Amino acid sequence: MSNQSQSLKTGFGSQSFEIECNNNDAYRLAEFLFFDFPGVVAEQEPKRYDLIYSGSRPMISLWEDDKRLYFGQNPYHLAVILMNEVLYHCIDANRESHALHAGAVIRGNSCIILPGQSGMGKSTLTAWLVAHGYQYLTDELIFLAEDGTVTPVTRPISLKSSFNQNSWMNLHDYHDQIIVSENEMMIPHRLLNQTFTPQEPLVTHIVFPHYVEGATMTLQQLSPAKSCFLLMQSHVNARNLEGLGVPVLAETVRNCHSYSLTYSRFEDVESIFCASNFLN
Amino acid sequence: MDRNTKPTISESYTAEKFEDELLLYSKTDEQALYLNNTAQAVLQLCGDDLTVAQIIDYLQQHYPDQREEIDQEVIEVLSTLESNGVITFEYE
Repeated sequence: MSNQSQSLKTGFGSQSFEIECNNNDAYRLAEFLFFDFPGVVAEQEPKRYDLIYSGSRPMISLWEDDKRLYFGQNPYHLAVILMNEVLYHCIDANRESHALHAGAVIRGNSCIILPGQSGMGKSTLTAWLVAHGYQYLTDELIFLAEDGTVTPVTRPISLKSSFNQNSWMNLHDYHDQIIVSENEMMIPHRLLNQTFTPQEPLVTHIVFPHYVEGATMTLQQLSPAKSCFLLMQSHVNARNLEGLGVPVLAETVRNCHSYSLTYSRFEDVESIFCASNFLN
Repeated sequence: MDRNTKPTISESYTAEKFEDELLLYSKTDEQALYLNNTAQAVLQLCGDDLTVAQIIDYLQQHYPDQREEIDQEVIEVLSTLESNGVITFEYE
């Protein structure tokens, strides 16, 4: 492939994106981020960004028209800004469903969503589940429709770098496929589990994770009212909560099994999620 | 809390009923509030033009073996409902 500018065109829901990349390295980064996005939405004028690598010790920059969003040498930092930009527009353009901060995985006919704000351990738990036989959907954002189906925003998994020390995440041979910063990293989900088919499943289980260092693991079943209350704390677009109404969320939780999970060790988590009766 | 005041329920909250539990949601400030059975009973009485003292008295008559707990519990529930904007107090 020649080292020339290329445009990555993608989209999600009703929103399209076009990322103009000035060389192969820039294109690889854009592709890394949006590989699993559904694709271009024809009728929508795309949001445009320029991703530029320049120099032998490349300085990289991200632009939206003449507004510079990032300038520096760390692809991870640029990737976070670009992904957040795109997620913001996906959420803003969405009118039909509830946008929730949540990880999501599937196994058989069961779909577990893991709602929670940053720092609750949802990305880490999602990654662990994916490495243990569950299929990845997202570690960050889902759109929950009126009928209870989940449309995940499938992106690379974002984790604290310290989790690379875990034995279950053996990524030492894949450093060239991972983007890292001082404390965090983005990994392609296929490094943890090759099995992946884009899906929009019906949510069957809701697990609210809470990582607490040194804590004894507890798994507490939640009533629908408590589950709905907690789910509302993970809502990322109050406009839609008002427009679509709480009854849609309420109906979904009534049809699901809901749990609150406090954990600190994956040895404990294994006894729950790998038990044959958990998803029944 | 002045026990002779009357609580009034705010109209900005909508309720979602789950069997014996209730979830309140405010469209104006996007707040949600989970209510257990006791809180629901207190909230219901807030709509009956009763003072705080009358609410406590009513519940104590219905649950005579829990007189002590009811007094404190009602005050706590009313404080929570007021701080979340679910009720306001009328001073006569």
